[in-house]
Amino acid sequence: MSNANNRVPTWEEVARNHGRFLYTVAFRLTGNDHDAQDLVQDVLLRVRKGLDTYRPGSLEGWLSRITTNAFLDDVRRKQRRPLQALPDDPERILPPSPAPDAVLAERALSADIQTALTRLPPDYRAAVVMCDVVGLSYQDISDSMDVPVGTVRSRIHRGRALLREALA
Amino acid sequence: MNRFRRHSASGDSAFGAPASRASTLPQTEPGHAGPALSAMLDGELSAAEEAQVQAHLVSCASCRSELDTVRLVRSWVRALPPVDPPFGFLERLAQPYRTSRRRVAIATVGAAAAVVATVLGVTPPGGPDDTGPGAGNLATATVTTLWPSPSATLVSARQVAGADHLFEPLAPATRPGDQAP
Repeated sequence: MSNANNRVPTWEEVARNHGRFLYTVAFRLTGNDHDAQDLVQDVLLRVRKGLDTYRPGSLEGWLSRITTNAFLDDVRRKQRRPLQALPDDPERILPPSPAPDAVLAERALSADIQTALTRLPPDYRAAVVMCDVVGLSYQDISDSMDVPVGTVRSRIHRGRALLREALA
Repeated sequence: MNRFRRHSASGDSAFGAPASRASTLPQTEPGHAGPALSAMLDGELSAAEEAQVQAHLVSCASCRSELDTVRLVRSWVRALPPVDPPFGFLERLAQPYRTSRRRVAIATVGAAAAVVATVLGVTPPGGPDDTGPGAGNLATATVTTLWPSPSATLVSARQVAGADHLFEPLAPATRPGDQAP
């Protein structure tokens, strides 16, 4: 029954089967639940409008491109607002119940990495997330962000260097 | 400065063009690998370019150190777990879409009743845009309008529209002798 790459999905199928993927990408890009929800809603609206032009192929690549554009469009709208580091979300750092030390250490590290990601300039952040969270090729990222592949390579490399400095 | 050079697959030097904008970010020193290191880790270099980078690494401790740093950070981001949306978020997004489908079904019945009324020479009181409970009223109003005309055949618009079942009560009607579901 599932031949997701061979036909155009319905909007509900996208929300149901790819909602967690979309939310993960949105959260890694925005750094908090509130903005991630707004971004996912924006993306699903664009998906609903764009489904009739979607050609079956890599659905998650197509969704990633929409998510990147929606994220950067929103950033540009707010670009006069100074870029501020978003506060850590305590619900994401503190586990709801006691957990083994290893699990706590892993959660703390994830929160630290997310904080550092959120502090990257948006263009660098989008490139790193598309590469390391979504797994897109440089060419796909280049198509998504409408910049040359050399720029993608540069943004990813510098983004990683900045992350390392923030996490040192 | 040629900022938009062809990308690496064309066979250009792996040590690409300098950073394309002035910034506070560290610039790649001439003669060092810089972004080519990330590209190599991501499998984005041609065989020839990768050979170039490897040859450089043999004699450059600073690039080897940078490669280790980038490899580490890359692995951290790649190890980040999926993020679940708050409970009910996706369900709430899907909800209004399902509701609107039901409204379309009712509006279609109302539209069918309006078409029937027009064919019978009666102007329906409402347009086909009536939805919800109004659709039932549209069918009823059509019958009412037919009533005063002595020459018109009294036809139930509900029956003609063929949507009689939609006006049944939502709870299944039980009749004597019915089996419980």
